[in-house]
Amino acid sequence: MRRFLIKLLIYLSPLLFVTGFYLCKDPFKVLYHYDAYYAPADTSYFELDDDYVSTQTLIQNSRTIPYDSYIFGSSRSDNYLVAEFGRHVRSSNCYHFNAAYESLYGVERKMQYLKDNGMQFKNALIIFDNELLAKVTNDKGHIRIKHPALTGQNRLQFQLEFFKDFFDKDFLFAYMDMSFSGKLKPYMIEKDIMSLICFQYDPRANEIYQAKIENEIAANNYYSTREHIFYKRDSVLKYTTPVLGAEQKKLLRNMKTIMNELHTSYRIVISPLYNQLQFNQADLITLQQIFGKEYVFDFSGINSLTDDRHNYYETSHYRPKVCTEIMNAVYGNKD
Amino acid sequence: MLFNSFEFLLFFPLVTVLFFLLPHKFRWFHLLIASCLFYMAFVPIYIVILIATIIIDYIAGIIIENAHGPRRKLFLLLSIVANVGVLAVFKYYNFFATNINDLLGAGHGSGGLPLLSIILPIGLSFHTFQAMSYTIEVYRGHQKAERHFGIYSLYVMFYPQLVAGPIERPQNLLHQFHEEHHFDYDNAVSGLLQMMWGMVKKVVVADRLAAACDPLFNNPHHYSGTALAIAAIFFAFQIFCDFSGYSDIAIGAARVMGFHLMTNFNKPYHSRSISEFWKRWHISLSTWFKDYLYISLGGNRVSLPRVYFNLYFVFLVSGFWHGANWTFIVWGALHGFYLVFALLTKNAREKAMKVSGINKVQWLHNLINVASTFVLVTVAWVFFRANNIGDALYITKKFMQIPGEMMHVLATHKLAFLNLPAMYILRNCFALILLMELAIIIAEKMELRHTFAKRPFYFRWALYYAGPLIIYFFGVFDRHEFIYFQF
Repeated sequence: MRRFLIKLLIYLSPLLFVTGFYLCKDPFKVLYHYDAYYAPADTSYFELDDDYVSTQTLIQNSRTIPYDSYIFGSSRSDNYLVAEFGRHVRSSNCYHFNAAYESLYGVERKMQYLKDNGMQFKNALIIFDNELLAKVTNDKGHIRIKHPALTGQNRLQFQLEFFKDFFDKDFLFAYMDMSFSGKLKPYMIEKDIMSLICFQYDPRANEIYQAKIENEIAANNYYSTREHIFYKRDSVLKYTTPVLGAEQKKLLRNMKTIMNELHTSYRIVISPLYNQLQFNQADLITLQQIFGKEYVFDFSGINSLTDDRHNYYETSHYRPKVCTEIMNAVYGNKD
Repeated sequence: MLFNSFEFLLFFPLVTVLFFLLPHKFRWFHLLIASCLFYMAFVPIYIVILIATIIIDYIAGIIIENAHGPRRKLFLLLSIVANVGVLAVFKYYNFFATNINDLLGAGHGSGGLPLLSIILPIGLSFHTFQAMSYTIEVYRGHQKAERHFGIYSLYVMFYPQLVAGPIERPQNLLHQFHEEHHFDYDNAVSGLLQMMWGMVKKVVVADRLAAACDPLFNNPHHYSGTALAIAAIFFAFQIFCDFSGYSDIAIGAARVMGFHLMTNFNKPYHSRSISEFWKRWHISLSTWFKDYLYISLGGNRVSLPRVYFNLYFVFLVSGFWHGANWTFIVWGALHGFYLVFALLTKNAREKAMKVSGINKVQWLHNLINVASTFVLVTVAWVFFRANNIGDALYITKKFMQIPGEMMHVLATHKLAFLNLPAMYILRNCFALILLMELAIIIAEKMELRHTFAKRPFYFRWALYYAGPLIIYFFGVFDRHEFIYFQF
């Protein structure tokens, strides 16, 4: 048996080397503690699990910062700047409790987390769209899986999700290449494995700000080179497919119950997406019935916000100035 | 827990290392706990059903051995009824209820039989047959009743073969749990190699073929006869690689610990007749049906018409065992028909071969036999795989159009109308099938199984690394289930 174990060790040495490399480098930043997951002027090469970063940063920061106001949603909620949100809700302890590729399940779990941990929950700005509302279960994969503090998932299983994805042949090869060469190579960008991601980050509010892009826009360099991204839209109004089924309604009602119990002042925004699809009217009525008509604001469809492509970075994310206009509209001079 | 999952990658070495570290007297307990955890990783509550049938068969075995006269038969029947009863409720009740309701024109909740909302316990068909094999062999006096409840439980629940076989015989497996197994280097290496081969077949070949043929079987009306024939061929190899791959992993995992499970597949597509096919395909099931059903019906010791009936009936039941769906029953019936027809036409066929002189050219004779057997088996697979009888009949009817389609291709030099899968898919899948068959033939010619340990260092280590690298670079990882898990 000794001979077998020695040979097995030799046989597994490449695997052990890669595993050791993973444990040392912690590429997805899920193994060890980090004071901040991004630098203030961050340059990354691949996405971290935004939900994990969002939740873990809250867990760490909330020991010293008494957050009481939150912005929920997917990456489309990134540009609702906390400075403005805080001005509307009169709080200086606002937080982006959001996640890229967020789901309705994720938003509900986050609210449940706030309640279960006795955190103040005075204000909520909830940014919805069809894609977010459709998803009612935890995701898989190192970019989308929810933090185990929200889901109760076994921590080992959670870690295995990242460990498995590290061994994806395209990612592993590119990551090892970049680690040893220090260079972001063309094939990494072409295969969509890695790219240069630059943004400004405020760890206190977990806020990402696309300063580089905004500077390019200000210098009139941005849209001229991206004409091909902004496809031509139909002038005929179309509607999104309905997504609010039994499971969605259950999650939405729980969110309402939590906000009622904690006396949360909330606003729900249906995003003004570039596709100009009007939010399904039956779903809108459902949201209004659950949350109250006066608290649900639909900015989807064909309107002045969605008509102008200069309101978007690309066809998925709208700019801070749109968010400012929306917040002014939904908060106005009301309570 | 699936064999091709990350969890099993952790489970298997842990269980195996602990097995060898523990003293012999505790090993049965360790394996039993491991098998329970393995089974409960699917639907935990269903272990209750497994335990219930284990208790019934354990007690029945002891009583059968000690009893005399009609009491022996009574307890054998009780054991069989308990096992078949569980199958009937969980696997077949909804099928019968739906068909009766359709016959009566009644629907669910409106005068018809109610349908049960239950999931089929995983591996039910396999472990009930294995358990029945035990009580039947005790009844026949070929096996002493197992007095150790834990060992008997392990016989039924042994995790490598619990959910998809091989369906073991007590004479082969039970005594192995009593014997002390010392770590054997050759067993460990050959067992791991067999597991690796099984994984290659499943993850690289079967799952890739599945991705290619699923769209055609799910929407047959969009495809030509030629495309559907290609899908049928792909499915023939998909199911072989999937099921034999699972068996290889099961047999290999057991061998690492020193347990020897029976061979379940032996190059079935090299068969020269349907009869030979069933000596090479799912051997543990076909021998089970032969020993416990066919022989009990009289086998071939009865009149010729009765022999034909027995054969046909056994295959009908075999089709039914595979699933509660008319497609499986027709699949079984087809094989029954093939066998009976082969027997009926045996003399005529031999005469035809003699007259044509083909029987003198051995390789041609074999080639014709192998090719025709493969075609018959593949046509039957269409019924096995199709979503319903309508689709299966449509597909087999489309095969008749292939000659016309080929004529059109020759005349026009155009392939687009055939609506074939993309060229790269066809190329990759056929290449995989060819490479796999070559690997099997070369391994047999080199007698690799028996001579591997004597091969040079570089040869052995190249193979050790080839498997995982092939799996890593060419494996399909977004499909997980093994086909036979649904049975």
